[in-house]
This record gives sequence, C-alpha cells and structure tokens, in this order.
Amino acid sequence: MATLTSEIDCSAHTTREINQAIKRAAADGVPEIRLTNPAARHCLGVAVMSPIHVIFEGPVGWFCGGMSDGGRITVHGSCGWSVGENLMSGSIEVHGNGGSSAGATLRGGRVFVAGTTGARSGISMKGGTLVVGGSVGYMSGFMMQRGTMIVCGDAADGIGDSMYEGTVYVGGSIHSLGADCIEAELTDDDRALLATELDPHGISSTGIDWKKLVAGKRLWNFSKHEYDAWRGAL
Amino acid sequence: MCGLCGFVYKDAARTGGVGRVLHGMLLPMGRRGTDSTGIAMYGTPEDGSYVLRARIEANSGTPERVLETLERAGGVRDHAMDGPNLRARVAYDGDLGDLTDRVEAVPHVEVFSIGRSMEIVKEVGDANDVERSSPFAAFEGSHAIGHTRMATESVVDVAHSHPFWARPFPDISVVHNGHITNYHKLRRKLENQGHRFATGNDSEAIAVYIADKLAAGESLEDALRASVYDLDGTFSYLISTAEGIGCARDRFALKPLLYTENDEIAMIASEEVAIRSVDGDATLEPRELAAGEVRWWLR
Repeated sequence: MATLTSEIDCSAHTTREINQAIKRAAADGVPEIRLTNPAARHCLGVAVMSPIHVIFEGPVGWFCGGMSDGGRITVHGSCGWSVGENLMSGSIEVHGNGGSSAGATLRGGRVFVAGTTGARSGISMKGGTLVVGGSVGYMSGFMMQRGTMIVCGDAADGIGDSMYEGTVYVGGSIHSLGADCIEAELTDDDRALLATELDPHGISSTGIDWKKLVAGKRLWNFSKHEYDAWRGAL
Repeated sequence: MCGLCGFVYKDAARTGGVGRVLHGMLLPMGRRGTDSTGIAMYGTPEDGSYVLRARIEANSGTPERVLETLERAGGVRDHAMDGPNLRARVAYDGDLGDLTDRVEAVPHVEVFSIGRSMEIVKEVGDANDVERSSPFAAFEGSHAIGHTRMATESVVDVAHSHPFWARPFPDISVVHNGHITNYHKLRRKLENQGHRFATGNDSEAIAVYIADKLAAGESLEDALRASVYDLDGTFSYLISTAEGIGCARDRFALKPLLYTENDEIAMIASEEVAIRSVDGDATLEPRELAAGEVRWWLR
C-alpha cells in the first residue's frame, strides 16, 4: 500500500529527478508529495498528469506546473514567469507573488496567485480560470480566446488587448483598456461566479466594484470603415 | 538573454561580503548567459586614490610600461597582477579620460574601470572563471552589480563583457539585458557632446547616457525615469554609482527584473533563483518591476 505522503529535498536532486519522482509517486497512488527547498528553480512540477497533490514548501521558478493535466499543485512561496502555462486541467495555487505571463495559454483548470502578477498575465488564454488576488501587469489578457480571468486588484495599461472571447473581471482600478476591450454589464450570474471562484480562497467578492471586460469584437473582421480601430490594435 | 543581479547594504556605514553574495547570485544566472561574466563592486575609498582595473594581453615589458605610465601620471600607491589582470591604486587628480587614453596607448591594454570605490572584474566564462582570474568572492564592500552575458550582437570577448564603465565618469557602471534599438542615434548624440566609447556594445551607451545626466546635476531618479522614454528597445538594466544602485525596466516589460528588500539590504535580479541561491532572509518576498518602472537605493 502506498504511503500517504512522500517527501523530497529538492536541493539534493536535479529538476529532472524531482519531476520523475513526482510522476512515480502519482503512478504509485501516493496522494500527496511534499517538496522542500525548491529555491525558485525552473520547470518544477511540469506535466503532472495524475491526481496527486504536489506541495512546494518554498518559492518556485518559471513554468511551474506547466502542461499539467489533472494534478493539484500548491506553492507556499512565490513563483516566476508563466506559472501553469498551458495547464489542461487541475489546479495550481501560489501563496505569494507571481511573475509575468501567469497562466499563459491556459486551456483548463484553475490557477490562483494570491499576490500580484506581472505583465501579460493570462496571455492567449484558451480556457480555464486565472485568479489573481493582487494586481496584474501591462497588457494582461492579451489575445485571450476563452476562459475567465479574475483580478482582485488593479489592472495595468492595456488590459484585454485584442481579446477574441473570454471574460475578465477587475475589482480595482483599470489604468487603460487594450484595443477592442470593452466594459460589459455585470449580471447576477457574474456575481455568483465571482463568489464561487473567490470564496474557496477566503476572498470576499462582495462590496467590490467589479468591472466586467469582454471583447468588443470589432477586430473579428477587417472593415476599411473602421480603420482607426485597426490602427490602434496594430 | 542575459542575467542581471545586484546587492546593496542600505546603511551608509555598513559594508560586508558583497563579493560572496554576487558570486552566489551569478552562478545560477549563468544559465541566462554563458559567454562571459562580470562584476562591478564598491569598496571603501582609500587616501584619495583611484583604483584602476585593467587587462594586459601581452608580456615582455607591457605591465611595466603601464605602471610607468601611471607613475608619470601621479604615482602608483600599490599594485597587483593576477595573470593578465592588473589592479593598481593610483594617485591622480586629472581627467580620467586622459588617464585612460594614456594607459590604453600601451598596446594590448584594456582599462576596465577607474574609480574611487568601484572595481570591475570580468572574464569570458562563468562566475568561477572570473573568480579564478580575478578573485572577487572575498571582496568586502557596500554594494555590487553583476552580469552574465549571452552575446547577440557584438563579439564574445572580455572587452565586450559587462559591466561597462561609463568612462570617463568615476564609479559609474551598468549591466544590461536586452537590445537598445536607437543605440546608434544615442551614441552619435553623446559623441557629439564629447563622450567617447570603448566598444560597439549598445549597453555601454546606457552607462554614458546616465552618467552624462548625473554629471549635469540630475538626480539618479530623474535620470532613470528619463531613460525609460529615451531608450528604445527591450531592456532591463542596473546602474551603479558610488552612492548605490538604480534599475529600470522597459515600457513593454519584455525583459525580466525583480527586487526584494528589507530594512538592511536590497537585492535585484533577473530571476528569483539568484536571490534564493544566497543564504539570507527566507521571508523576503520578491516583486517584479512593472512595465516602465524604475527603482533606486542610495546609501
């Protein structure tokens, strides 16, 4: 019978050894694996394809949890660029600040960053949910195609630039909207969704002036009569 | 891709093992740049002399000719050679551009830096290669910046390695990750003001650009803020002076840069892994600079 928890000291192993150990533990049916001293190394916990809970006791580097499908990753620390890049399903929770491109090309599952994230968070999202407890950087939600991004803090310049589809919610101030990103009316369904997504993280969604951002869809098809819209986007 | 790192003690009276810290930060940054590595470190000025760091790529009397030149310029207080690398303390009160020209008039000599407190060491290879050719890990000082280079547009040699001294301004140097697309225009403008360049590397122009503004009486904060608009292209850079460190990130946030600090120290790096490679305060929470953001720490 598999032990309930496996533990690895990252400082004694290469990144490849660590990731292979996670896969082995998942294949053996170990429900939880705890990794100490990750020391902000890159590519930890990538391609976790089984329902195992991976816990990093410290900061992780770039691409943490990328391409995973079905696992659950918790980071007790900060993370670098592109956390959860191309996540298919499962969840990643980061209890610290994130870097740029958080949740890039997210396809499914949930990425939660308790602190702030950098530029281009949620770039080219194709599904899933990205929740940022703090603020997001320049041009977040750029070319978003599907999915949901929830920003509890402020959005820097160019939020939702050239988004095709999907929805962005911003609780704080918006420095400027990106090209063809427009504000839509917040409905009761939106409020219910915000409560569903934020309550598990201990964040109250009430008493906040939520702004709902969607694609204006003026860039879907080229029109020579809307030259100004295209000039702004390009 | 290049790696940047910096460390500063905030208290003006405090010094410590900045060489050891930078060595630790530079090793993981070696993955961002394997071509060359360099450090600008700031010690305690001694008896009004300048510290000169230079590379002498020839033997048969060349080091002696350099020392004779320095002796004639004002006097050599002391000197040491580590292989081809010269460190000399020089008594001098003239223009540093003139002194640099006189030293480099000796064939096969490259001046890395001249400063009251700043010393630049660099080498092709990683931080351990620098440590072997110009030991710096035991250096005690107030602050330092470092760089690992992945060359994209100029040759891989020690002359084109970072940090770049903002010659002839004492104690100012820069490390840069990115590409300055208006480099030639910026360089022409600075050359028309009388500044000279030692290399064809775009990063050198940042150092001279900032130093020129500081010499004109601008604050480091104002110079950093102006640079975000005057420099085109992608960049994260650190600039160091005798007083501390400043940094800036381009308006598109295309190159990484983050910082962390407490009451005693500040650390800046391209990636958090550089910060975590040094034994220190594990509770420090790093934060990325926003697009176009500048920060500075003056002692």
